[in-house]
Amino acid sequence: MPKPTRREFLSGAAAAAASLPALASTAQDDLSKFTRNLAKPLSEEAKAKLKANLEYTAATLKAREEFKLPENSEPATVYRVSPAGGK
Amino acid sequence: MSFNPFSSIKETAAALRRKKISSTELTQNYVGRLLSLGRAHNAVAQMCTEEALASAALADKEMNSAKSLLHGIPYGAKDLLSAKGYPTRWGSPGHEMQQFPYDATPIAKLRGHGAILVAKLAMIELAGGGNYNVPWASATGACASAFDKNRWAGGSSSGSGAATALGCVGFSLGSETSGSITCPSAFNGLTGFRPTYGRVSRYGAMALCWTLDKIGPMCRSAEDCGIVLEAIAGYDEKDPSTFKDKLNLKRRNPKLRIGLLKDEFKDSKAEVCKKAYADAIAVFKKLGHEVVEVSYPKMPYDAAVGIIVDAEGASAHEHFIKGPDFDKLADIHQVAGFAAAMETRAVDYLWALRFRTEALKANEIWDKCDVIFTPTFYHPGPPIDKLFSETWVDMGGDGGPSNLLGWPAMAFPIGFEDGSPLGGQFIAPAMREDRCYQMTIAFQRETDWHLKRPV
Repeated sequence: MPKPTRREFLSGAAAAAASLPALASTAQDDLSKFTRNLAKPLSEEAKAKLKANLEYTAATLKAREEFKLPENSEPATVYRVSPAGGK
Repeated sequence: MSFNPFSSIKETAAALRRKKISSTELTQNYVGRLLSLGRAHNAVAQMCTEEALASAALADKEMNSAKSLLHGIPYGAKDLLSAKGYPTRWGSPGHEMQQFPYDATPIAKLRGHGAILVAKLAMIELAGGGNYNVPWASATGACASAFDKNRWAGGSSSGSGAATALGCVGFSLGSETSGSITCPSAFNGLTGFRPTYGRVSRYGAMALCWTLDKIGPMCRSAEDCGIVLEAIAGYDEKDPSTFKDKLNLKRRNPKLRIGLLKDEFKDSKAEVCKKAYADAIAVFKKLGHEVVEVSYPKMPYDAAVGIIVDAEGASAHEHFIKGPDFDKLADIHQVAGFAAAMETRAVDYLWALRFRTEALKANEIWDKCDVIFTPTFYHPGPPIDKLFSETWVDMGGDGGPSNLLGWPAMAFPIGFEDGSPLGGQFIAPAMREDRCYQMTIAFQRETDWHLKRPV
């Protein structure tokens, strides 16, 4: 489904991006980092959507910055050691 | 028995055993409906007619020794699940030629139960990765709701929703990363079962997000969902995220306490849904359930889900994103979204995984209640021809940690607005699908919303 959060974020994305100057300027000025690995250049329309998307990303990252994790906390991912196999 | 496209699994199984109808006749009838109704709603990705009819003929021969209720019953699967012998396009115009030489585990398990795969069903391209913003973000176009062709069927398991509600299949499989079973279930008046993360093997399913993806049944009743989930659940050595804890939907429970989210409908103008929700709560109170107000700890669950989906989705589809067919995607928002997601920083992804550990604190809500009951959305599906950014207004939806923490949910119809269904859902702690199942079974014994059919 469309993430409702995306639309919620998009509605306030510009304001959030403005409060994060570094990310906002990245979104508006330099898209080369985001297109350098693509086989074909993005259309102008896609570039415009990409800018909007980066504003959304800025809003997401603002929410992340505002939530303080405890020091030394563990990520919820587990690397399971498995037997080497073979003979 | 004359063919009833909306028969329950138990009714169909009984008719098959009594030779009132054959699996071949059932399959022919469902094929006919898929080709007419299913196609008209853009719900079909790929017909599997030839093999389905051959499997049905075999099922008829073996009917006397059938051990499963699903034996001989035709079903559809979201085109995200690989099926040997057929294309698996993931709903994407950029994967037109893709085919895998093996069955996804849920497909293999259903084959083992004698169920007949009659069609691969339409879906939002790449399950919505890159963040879609239009109903037509699919190789098969915009999928229309079974109840109103002017409304979207929901996504990303769009075809599973519409085709099952239209009576084009006996049941279907969908998948959910963040809402993709519950959303189309709500918009099509279906009962959809999102199992606990790890309950059903993801082997052979397209990955959008390895740590969030779940496969589950989409059916016309909770009882049907239970039968299908029991068939596809279980540990699979090919999917290390599956667990060995056995599914027990019949587990004995005391009267369950129902948690209602305190902030539900706050600032919402969803009067019709508010009434449907209140009516449903009245049913549960009549059944003797205690109702308590609860709330999730305030944390940025959605931000974490967004970062995880971006990082894992970009990694899962990196080869495609960097390849020559990337710009074939039907929704330009997804092209832009994937391009942006490719630059997700490792520290941000790891923040999200560390946050997930913190979010486990939300489990404290289960000290106060046994299940949470909430509207799936406040309104039926949005218009089929407009951008979601224009129409997705006052929709509500579960903004809590349920997908992030892998909790199960069952979505089911609780009313109608303008002739289209409204959904409610039960959410339960991890591994307690039995609670969602038993509560919805009880509701559907008291009400008939799940028996309303599209005209």
